[in-house]
Amino acid sequence: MNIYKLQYTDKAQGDADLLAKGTYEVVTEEGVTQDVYRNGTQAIVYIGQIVEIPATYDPDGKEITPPVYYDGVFYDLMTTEEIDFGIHELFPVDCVHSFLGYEKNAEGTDVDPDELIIE
Amino acid sequence: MANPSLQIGNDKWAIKESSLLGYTELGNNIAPVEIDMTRASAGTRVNSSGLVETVELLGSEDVVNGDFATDSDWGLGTGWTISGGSANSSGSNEDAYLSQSNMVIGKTYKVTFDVNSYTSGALSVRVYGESQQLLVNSTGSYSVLLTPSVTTLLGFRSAGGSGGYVGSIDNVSVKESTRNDLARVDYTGSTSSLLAEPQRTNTVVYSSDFSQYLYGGTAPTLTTGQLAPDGTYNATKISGVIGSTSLYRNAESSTTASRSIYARTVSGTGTARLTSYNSNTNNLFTLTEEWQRFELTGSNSDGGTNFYAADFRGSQTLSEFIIWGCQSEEATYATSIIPTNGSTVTRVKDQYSKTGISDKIGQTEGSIYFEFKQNQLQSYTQRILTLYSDSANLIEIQLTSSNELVFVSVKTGESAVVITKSSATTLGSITKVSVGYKAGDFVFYVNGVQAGTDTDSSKTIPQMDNLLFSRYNSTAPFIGSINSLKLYKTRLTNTQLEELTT
Repeated sequence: MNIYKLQYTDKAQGDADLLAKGTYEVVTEEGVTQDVYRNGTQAIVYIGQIVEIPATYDPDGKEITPPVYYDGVFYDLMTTEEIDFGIHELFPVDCVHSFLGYEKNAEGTDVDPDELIIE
Repeated sequence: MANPSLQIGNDKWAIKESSLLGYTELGNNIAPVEIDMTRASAGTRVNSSGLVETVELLGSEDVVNGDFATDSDWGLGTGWTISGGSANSSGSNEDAYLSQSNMVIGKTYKVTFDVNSYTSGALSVRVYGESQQLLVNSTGSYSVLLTPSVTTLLGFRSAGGSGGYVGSIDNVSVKESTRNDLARVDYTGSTSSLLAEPQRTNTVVYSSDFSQYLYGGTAPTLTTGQLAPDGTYNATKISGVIGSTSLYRNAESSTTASRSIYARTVSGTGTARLTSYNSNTNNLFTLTEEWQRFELTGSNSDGGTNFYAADFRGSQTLSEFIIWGCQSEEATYATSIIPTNGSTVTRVKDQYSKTGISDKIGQTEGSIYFEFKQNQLQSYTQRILTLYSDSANLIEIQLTSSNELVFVSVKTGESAVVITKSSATTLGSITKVSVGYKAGDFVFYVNGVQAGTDTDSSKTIPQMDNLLFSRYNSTAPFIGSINSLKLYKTRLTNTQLEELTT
């Protein structure tokens, strides 16, 4: 299984690139439009922005200081296929998202469940 | 009544990697029919003992002399000895290993063992020479998953500084573990059912580690080591001050998410506000001494995107209770628990299919019985069952977004059969449907009521080879749980079809 960590300028760019690479297809049937995974895609997870410096809140959930985000938006893609995402592919060391049964920082090609990352 | 040509479930389940065992009854014998199953991640369920667990297949025992009955088979680093039925570390041997080669690179293993005495230091469990996966510094039974990538050696390393580990271990077990592509049979409630869940992400980063939560008002007292719904001692008792204490994670949910948590009282019965800000009106739950999973659905008007494991500031009766398994999903209903520990986590969708079973599907006449439950109608028309050879030759049972169950039979060059039952299902309840089909003789039953017939003699039966719980092209999947499926190669009588669904 292959897990890719991806970064794009915004969601429109990310969706377009994932669509162009055939990871999913937009299907309209019976008046309902759905994104349908194609070509070995197991999951596409839109993570959105990732916080670099957390916001602070009071216990009522009101923001005291806003968060600082990394540039752009982020996706995790799980697929059976090997895909060249070029500059959009990242190799993070402390991931904010993972797939159930896989090590938190699992990424790259031929990833096994609970693969160990050698530190 | 004729025997079904194919059955799934009906309280008889068996799974193995990448398949669910359907079956055909042949007298007193059962012939297996493997149904393909894919899910590229692990998944959880409630097992037959009522415990939440990750579905897992374990292989045979790979360790030799795991009970340390003899002084053999293990590599003993400085300070490690085998005697008295256990492996013992004397200390003054930091970084020394107790080891055995019993794994294959690239495979995942479940390692269990007991620490039956502990004096000082710590025991580091890992693949020899690779990164630590578990650090133990007290007696008890432990479990860890290891996937060797460089060596094949299981390693227990003496650690903890100032001389290392002083203590002993026993009852070591090493078994290959498979967690992906396993069907999940869930025993929630009074019946067993096959889960067919969509992709979901738990956005609460620490589902059960409440030491990672922030608090407001008077600091809560967190007492870990409580018996949890998964049978471990990973639940936490939270003691707070009514009118003051809150325990929460920042910005890990949304105002429209489905939020859930397991909770129980320490004793007796009482109320507590869980999962969202105290002033919301839909978060006051009644807890008992039994574990329950509480689900908050619908919008939260206050508290924004914070996930409040507990908020004592509103009116409630309990000042202490036990919690475990927080979850927030961006959806209108909760699915099975997705454990997290330091990141958001996604469970991939379940998919079932079977091709090449024309011999199990009635080609000129037949009957179908399907028993299912679903918690939420979808925005699209679900194909809860499709038997087909191609897009123009198929039988479907559909569930529309407006709660109509529809039987459809399509054959190239003929008019379609369409029989509809409105207000057909009750969310969270079991629905039973049956179909009888033969040229010019179609009937559809829902929960013991005949939904309709079609006796147009020009309509015949399509060729069907394959089975899906979605449309023929894998869109419009069924989302819910399946209790039973039976295919017959004869058209049962209307009385029999009615009885099946009653």
